[in-house]
Amino acid sequence: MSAVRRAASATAIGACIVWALATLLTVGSTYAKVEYVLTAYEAGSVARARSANLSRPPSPKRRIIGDGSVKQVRTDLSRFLGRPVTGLESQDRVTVHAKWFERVVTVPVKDRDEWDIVGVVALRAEPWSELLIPVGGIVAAMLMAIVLALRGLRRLEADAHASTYAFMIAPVAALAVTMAALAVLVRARIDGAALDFPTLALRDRFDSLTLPLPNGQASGLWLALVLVLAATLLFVAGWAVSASRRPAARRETLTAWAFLAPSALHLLVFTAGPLLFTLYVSLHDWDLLQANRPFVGLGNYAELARDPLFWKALGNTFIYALYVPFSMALALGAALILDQPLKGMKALRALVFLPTVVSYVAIAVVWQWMFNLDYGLLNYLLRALHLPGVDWLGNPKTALLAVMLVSAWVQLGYQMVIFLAGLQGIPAHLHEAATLDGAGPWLRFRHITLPLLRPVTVYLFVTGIIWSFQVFTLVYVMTEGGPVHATDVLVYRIYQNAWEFRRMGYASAMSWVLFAILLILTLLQWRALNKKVDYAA
Amino acid sequence: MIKHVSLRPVGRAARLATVAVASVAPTSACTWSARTVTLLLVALLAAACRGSGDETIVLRMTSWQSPQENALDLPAIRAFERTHPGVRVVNEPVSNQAEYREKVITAIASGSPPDVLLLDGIDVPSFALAGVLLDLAPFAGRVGIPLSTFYPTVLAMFSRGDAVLAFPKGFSPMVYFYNRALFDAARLPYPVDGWTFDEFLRTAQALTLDANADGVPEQWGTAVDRRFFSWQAMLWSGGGDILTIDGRRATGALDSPASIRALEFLTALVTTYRVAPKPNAFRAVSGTETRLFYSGRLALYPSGHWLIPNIRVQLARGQLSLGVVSFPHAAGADVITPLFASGWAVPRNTSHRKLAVELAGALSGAEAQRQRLIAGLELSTMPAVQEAFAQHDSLGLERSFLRQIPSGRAPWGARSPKFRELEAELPEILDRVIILGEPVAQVAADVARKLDLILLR
Amino acid sequence: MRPNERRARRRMIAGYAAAITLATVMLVPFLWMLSTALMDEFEVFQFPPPILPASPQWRNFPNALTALPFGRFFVNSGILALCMVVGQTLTGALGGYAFARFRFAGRGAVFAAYLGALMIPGIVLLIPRFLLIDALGGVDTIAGLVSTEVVSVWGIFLMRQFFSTLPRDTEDAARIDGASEWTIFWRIALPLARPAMATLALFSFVDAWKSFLWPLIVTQSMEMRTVEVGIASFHGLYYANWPYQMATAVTALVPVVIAFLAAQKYFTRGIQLTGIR
Repeated sequence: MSAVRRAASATAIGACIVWALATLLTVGSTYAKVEYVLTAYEAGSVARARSANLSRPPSPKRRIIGDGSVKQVRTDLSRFLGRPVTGLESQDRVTVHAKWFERVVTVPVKDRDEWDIVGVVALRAEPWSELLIPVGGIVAAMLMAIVLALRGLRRLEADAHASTYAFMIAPVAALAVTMAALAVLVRARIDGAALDFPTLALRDRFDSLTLPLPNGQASGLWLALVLVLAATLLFVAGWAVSASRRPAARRETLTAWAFLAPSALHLLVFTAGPLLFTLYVSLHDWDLLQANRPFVGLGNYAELARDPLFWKALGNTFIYALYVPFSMALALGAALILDQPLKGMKALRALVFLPTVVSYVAIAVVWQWMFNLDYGLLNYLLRALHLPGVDWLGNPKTALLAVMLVSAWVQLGYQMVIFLAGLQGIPAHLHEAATLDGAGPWLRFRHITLPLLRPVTVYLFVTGIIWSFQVFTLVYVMTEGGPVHATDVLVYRIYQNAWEFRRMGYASAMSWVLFAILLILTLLQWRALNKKVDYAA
Repeated sequence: MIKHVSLRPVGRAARLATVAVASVAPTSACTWSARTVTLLLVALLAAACRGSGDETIVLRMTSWQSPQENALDLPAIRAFERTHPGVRVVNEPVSNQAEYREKVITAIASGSPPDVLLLDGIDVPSFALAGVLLDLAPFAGRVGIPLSTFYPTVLAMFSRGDAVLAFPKGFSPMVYFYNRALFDAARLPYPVDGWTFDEFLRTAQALTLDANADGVPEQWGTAVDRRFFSWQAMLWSGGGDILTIDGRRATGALDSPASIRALEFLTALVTTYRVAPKPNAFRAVSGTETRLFYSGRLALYPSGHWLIPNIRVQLARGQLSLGVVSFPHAAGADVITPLFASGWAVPRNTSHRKLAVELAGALSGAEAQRQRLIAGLELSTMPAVQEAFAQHDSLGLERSFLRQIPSGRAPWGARSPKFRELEAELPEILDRVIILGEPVAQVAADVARKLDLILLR
Repeated sequence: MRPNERRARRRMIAGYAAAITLATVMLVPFLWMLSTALMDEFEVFQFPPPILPASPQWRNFPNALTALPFGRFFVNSGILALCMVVGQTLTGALGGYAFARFRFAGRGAVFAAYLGALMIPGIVLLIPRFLLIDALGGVDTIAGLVSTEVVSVWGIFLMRQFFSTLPRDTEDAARIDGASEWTIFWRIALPLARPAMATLALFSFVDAWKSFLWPLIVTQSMEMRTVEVGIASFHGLYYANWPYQMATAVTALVPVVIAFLAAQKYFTRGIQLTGIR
């Protein structure tokens, strides 16, 4: 057995074990939560009966650990769990106490006016009782998948024409089938609980004396993620074996992915996950506070198409993005000026960079003052030149221009620094050789500096456009999208809909449209700008 | 979310342990059994370790108040902590209202809500609709503030039927502040509550002075703010409104003749009569109007009681001499002004219900309100406290404010859950008329249609 | 050689003149910030706004910085900045090098996916990320604050562009000599990309210092807040204390300016960077 196959087998076995454990955890915790909800419901009925001083309180199915005054129950509970329990007299919500594999659910008993806690009801929950079948299924599937994977790897190594997919699909299929069965079981458990106590499904999730049923869709999502992870690992193991025939290419791919792994993982968890969540949200009428979030399909997108404010914001954003080439040109000029090794340039560079660093609130305040019609600096200069004053931020025709000016001013330092770094990469001897050949500064700039700055320029342009489409804070603090929506940009619309109107579904739909636009734009830019340049020294 | 002591650490630790153990590079084929055994041991160990509960109970309160305003609540908080040993109150203010709302909503929805939160009167409908707030009515007597001690109008803003969703802590009507010195210099009598649109216009014209005739007055009569809270009173006092009484439609209300007349009057102050500068107050910075007023170059400034802390020092020193007068009313209509209020609310899923309600009561109680009045941020919501304070007020402003209360009404924000969306459309009316010069009737009809669409959604 | 000397001097004067004009244009707003920070609270609201304070209120600085626990805020921002700088430069260099140097199946698609991550407005990801961090128990902790920010695709993109300009000759030579990929990356490619790394480190630092919305959402208690969140506290709906806000904003600039001055030497003239000697 070669080293590669040993490693691949270990990965495959590890993947199956990880799958088994993660699935066990997900299924187990969902079952446990359902059990806690049912126990809490029972305890709650007993507690309410006690509050109302009923002579015949309901007898719960589960074992009563404690039922009476707070002190009494505290002693009983501590004895049962074998550890001190505190805080019951002020814990005004359903609580789950745990020790080893024991679980107890406590619900406070309130006095008739629901003010003081006069007692506690503690019931024993048994979350592990229904897990026999699922655990059995998981273990069986894990073992079967391991056997199938090991067999597949053996075949892949032996057979030169074997396809990774053909042989790795068997273990993945075993896992997937089990996963589907488990998803059905989990869903049945949740729905069964909801049927037992019909009002549970709509139970108020903001009431501290109840527990919400677990979300079947969330559990399903977790299971799907676990399956994807295990499948990926299995396919990677298969690929490793089948690619062992081309060690150089395989080594390169492996190293590349090793280098990319930390960022890829982070992006998957913190960007791709939330992004898919917003896609899900955009198909619903979603409010964080409301329990009812109906599915509306493409309704949000259709509404977008009809919304005149959206189109106005889109147009404004496109116009606004035009500041990028201008500020880049200015930044290049600034970089060339400040690149000279003269005394005091260091401080001057720091000064030019300063605007990038300041918070947008301060920038907005300062520029509102500078743009002011009566006492602003810009109008003062204009009047000194005998030109009429301009109400920069009050006139719809000039407001967007004013915001673009401020953005250019802010971005100048950032772009200049990148250009400076890029200029460092141009070997000095190229310039010297050209000067010796008699080329003037403009020719040198056009034929040496500009081409060698291309990657930097491409970076700044692409990221500049992407960044400009996402402008928000500046508009938010300086103009609030006014006057008359002249500076209303896409992300401001998204913010207003998400935060002020709490229409998260609509805002998510807008962000997906923005995403699609940027994707297309960037693809076009990339094709147009990214011609290969020879970098031989 | 289940909030209990040990299940989460078990889940997390076990998951981490799984990943850690599975990532160990194997050297023999039997390691998977060793791995599972280690894993079970780790899981059991994790299940065994638990943190014991903390002895002090921590109550978290949150608001949008500035550091100075938070300092005003400190005496009430300290008194509460003294009467409740073993309880600590932690104040987590958020800088401004929009972000505050985000944070509170997210915190409540994710199951870790603050125990006491400051609720703006305008947010009551949407919070009430979501059902996230605790009904404080049954507990009011127990915390020592029977509901009868509040101004009825203000209390009604925070009530839904019999349920009271927050203890009102402070409120203010919209009024006009006038600069006494400018009136004296122009030898005009001070304005009187209940004055008419015409009187208002004539006063403003008399107080707009352009000495060097360059077209830009050095002193302005009044100011117009494009934001709805500022001109809501003018619309109401002109006999109009943005929505019909039941709050279901805008057409018929916003484009009614009375509303249009009121809006025309308002915008004409800027365009035709030129007694007010062009509105340019933005979110980040107060506009020219505030500066002019503070510099003593604006005679009539619409605002609320919240203006006073900013200029208290100047008022005490006599650098600014102000008076308070109601909004003017159109012929045939009554003076009506909105009351902007805030109150302390308790979320329903807080874990210390009784303590939280007691804290909310302590923060809105008579003693706390009395101490806050000294800073002058807003009026007390208890008539007894407010009137007692007004008697000792040296500046005379409190008595004028008291006179405005009977003409106060709950603003639309307190009645309509979609108000934030409606409010966002309203400044456009002023913008389109003043900046683009469109006729008021048409703009009003347009915006009314937009509001209807929003209401129908 | 007098004409050359004169030309050189003229060029120097022109250079200085242009640089100083540029810096002045950049500087005016900051002078206003500083002057506002020294004003009396009421003086700020005069019409027209005064350019210089009547009497500089130097005590605004200590007063503003003690009105809220700014010491703690600076520490938190510092920790965030450190983690972001280390995380973003490392992952940026690793990722950029991988995209620039290695050929592997699907490289274009994966890079496009990375770029796609840039095209989502940050505010849209706020709520899902908060819910995720909350589920992991990281709300109001340093771990929660830092964890979402340690990878920056802007950085990966920037490093990719830089690495693609470096000539491969040294690397190929080392590869033939049997050096591992990691050694080539760490010993050969990375030192050559120092200007890019320095700019990346600088921008990560600036980003960390300026970040507002995410720290606002994920922190609750006073002890965990950052400087930007603290500065914004002076500005509410009815209330704005401009002098205090500007004083704290000016103070918050100091670490960044220091960082910039320190990082400058890496991307300005003085370091020779040709590939093969």
